Order: sequence, then structure tokens, then C-alpha cells
Amino acid sequence: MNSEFEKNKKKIKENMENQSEKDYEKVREILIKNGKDKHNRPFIQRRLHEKENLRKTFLAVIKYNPARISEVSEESLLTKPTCYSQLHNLMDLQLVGRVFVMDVKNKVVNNEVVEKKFEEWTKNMPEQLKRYYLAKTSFWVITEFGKSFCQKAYEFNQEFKEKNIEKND
Amino acid sequence: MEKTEQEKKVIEVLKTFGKLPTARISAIVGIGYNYIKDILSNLESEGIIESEKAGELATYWKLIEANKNE
Repeated sequence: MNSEFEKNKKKIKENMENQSEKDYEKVREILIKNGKDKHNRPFIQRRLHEKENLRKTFLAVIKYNPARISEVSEESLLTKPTCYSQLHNLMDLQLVGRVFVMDVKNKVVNNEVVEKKFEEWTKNMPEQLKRYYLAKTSFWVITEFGKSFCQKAYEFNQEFKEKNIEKND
Repeated sequence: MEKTEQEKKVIEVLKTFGKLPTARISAIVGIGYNYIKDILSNLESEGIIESEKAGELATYWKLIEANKNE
């Protein structure tokens, strides 16, 4: 096992030495053309690991899915403008989507969960205020890619923990 | 100039809805706000769409009438 590992390590080192910056640029161009430069798991994991506010907002959206902006800002202890900018960054990574209540009512987007949550939120409000919020509010929803990403990350974490426990025993 | 898939999506959305603000276009197409701004400004410079200010902050986008039938 160790010899194989060392062989692979040597191969990787040789490849790293032989490749120039131009090769990397070529690969990057191909990825950008196919639109896959941002949507691979290692890139997203690294981004979430590096950026604290991004991670906080993502966790808040997971907790309240679908989440209003006020819920996100309360949960993450960040201001609303920073939450908005982080949510748009998450949207660029395709982890989070935005659904307007107006679109759901006009049947442009089908999302029953958002409709239910909005009705629950506005059930004690007068009609006029209800219509005001209907035109204005939007909910942040986790996409299917985001859900699969979370699941995989959770499984990876659990495996890592189990291995560590075995080592300690 | 060949249009990317995302630019085509934006044009389709504007064709079906007529006039929309930037936030709603980004929500329907599913692209972040900063990236969609670049796409919209590119389309505006090509003369396919035009912007319309509503109030101090909101900007609405719509297709130029000559491009509606394309």
C-alpha cells in the first residue's frame, strides 16, 4: 500500500513539474467554455471553508428552507446588505435559488412550500399589507445541486469521524 | 457575435414577460446578481435590450421593439 502511494505521489510531482502555467490556462478556458468552472465540489467546498460569512448564510438558508432575508440575517448575525451579497454569491455557485411570491401566485414557478410559508406568515395581516408583501417578498431556496452537495459533505464528514474514532481506540 | 446560453435565456425571459427588474430576471434565470448585470450590460451595448429607470434604485429591462420578432 505504501509503495503504491509513494509511486502515485512521485507521478503527481513529475506532472506538476512538467506542466506550465499555459497548460493550466488552457484547462481553465475549456472549463469556462463549458460553464463548469464554478460548479465542481472541491471548488465550492474550498470557497465555503475560506469565507465565513458565506458559510453562515448558507447554514441559515439550510435551517429555514425556504428562508426570508430577515430570517437569514437573524440566524447568521449579519446585516441584510451583506446577507444579500453572500446569497448572490451562493446563487453564482448554484447552491441557492430565489423564488418571488409574485411568480408563484402567477404560476410562473411551481413551489407549494413557498406559498404555504407566505400564507402562514401573512395570515394575521390586513388585506392591504398582505398585498404589499405579496408584490415585494422573495424566498431563498436550496437547489437540488445544493441538497446533494450537503448530503455528500455530511457523509464524508461522518466517515472521517468514524475513521478518527477507530484510530484513537 | 454568438450569444451564450445564459444570454439566450435572458432574452427568452424578456420576450415572455415584457418588462422586468434585474432581481427578478436573476431569480427566474437562476444566475447571481453580479453576473446577470454583466450579461444585461453586454446585451444593452449590442443594442438588443434597453434599460428604464423607475425611481432612484430600480432599473427595468425590456427588449427593443425591432428585436422582438427575432
